Amino acid sequence: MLDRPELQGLFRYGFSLTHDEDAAYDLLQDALEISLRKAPENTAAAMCYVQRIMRNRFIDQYRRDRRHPTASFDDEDREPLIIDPRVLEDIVIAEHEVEAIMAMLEPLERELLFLWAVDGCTAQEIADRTDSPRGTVLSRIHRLRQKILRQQAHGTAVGGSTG
Amino acid sequence: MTNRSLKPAVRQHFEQRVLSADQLERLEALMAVDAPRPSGRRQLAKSLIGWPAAAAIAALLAVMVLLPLGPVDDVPMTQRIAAEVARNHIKLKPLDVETDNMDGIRRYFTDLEFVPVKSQLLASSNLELLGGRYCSIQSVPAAQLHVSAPDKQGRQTLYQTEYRKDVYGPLPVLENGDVPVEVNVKGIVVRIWVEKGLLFALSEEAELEPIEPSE
Repeated sequence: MLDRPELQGLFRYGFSLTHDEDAAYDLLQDALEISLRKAPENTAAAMCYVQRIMRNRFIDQYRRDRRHPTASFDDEDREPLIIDPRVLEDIVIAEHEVEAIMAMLEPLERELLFLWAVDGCTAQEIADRTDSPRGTVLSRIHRLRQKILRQQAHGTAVGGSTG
Repeated sequence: MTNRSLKPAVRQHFEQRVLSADQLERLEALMAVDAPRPSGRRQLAKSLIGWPAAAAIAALLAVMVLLPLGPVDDVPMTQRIAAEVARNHIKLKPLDVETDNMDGIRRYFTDLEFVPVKSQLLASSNLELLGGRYCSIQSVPAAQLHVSAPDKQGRQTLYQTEYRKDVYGPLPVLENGDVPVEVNVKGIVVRIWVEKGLLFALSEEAELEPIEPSE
């Protein structure tokens, strides 16, 4: 049985995918309804198991929802890139920019940020947790960095200095 | 204006999101009911060890009987089931599986501790099955089936779960000649009954009554 901090962690993971607190709760509840009978006894393994179900369910629902494009789940990278996964470390942002950046990111990009910033995963660990090749994760990190920098530039141009 | 590294800023963004006490309690209740039930010798040993705890619970129950009950305890179980079912009906989350037959439903719902069945009560209703998804009723894992009736507008939802008397208390049993209990909640009519050892709940939007012009 998962304890409260673990449930909070899973809820935040759900929020990284959905960017909506109600939807994150629903996603977690759905995953628990499905998973607990088969969940491993070990807590860490159970967390991973529930998280995987949340991810799969979210992607299924996302693909079914015609309001959203499906490309971001299907066009995983072809460009061979050699990227230092620490490229995100040197980004500095203003506090007020966080919400705007999160709002413009795709679900898998927010998930990547969550795994990197909250769970402290390396690129290889993110690759393992998301069943993606490490190269794909590195490419996503690269694109994510570009996107955040573009958003910052845009924000500066529209709303003035971020410093 | 405060600038900071991306990592702590992102961490703070997520850590601000917290489940409410109510949400935590609901998830804990779901896990408690859903946890595998101990059996055999282990269960007997546990029950023997648990005598002092049982005595404490009995004392607590005695106090509760003597004290006025809170608002939640006042709500009849049928009302609680109906409220939960109506909420699920209104949300109408996407189907996990799309199928027009019970074989498809049974093949999909393999993680339930019961086998979804057709209801005799609905045999003459000509309901068209659309599919289903996992859900829970009072924290007991359940199947939500989406159905539509040819003569009615809108979708109906049919819920099935194992009938656990310890959770749901007494409910009308079709085989005993009882009729389903009907509860109106949030504009939804919910009919609840027990059949073939399963709890059924059927929900649909309440019919609109024609408004007669006043004289």
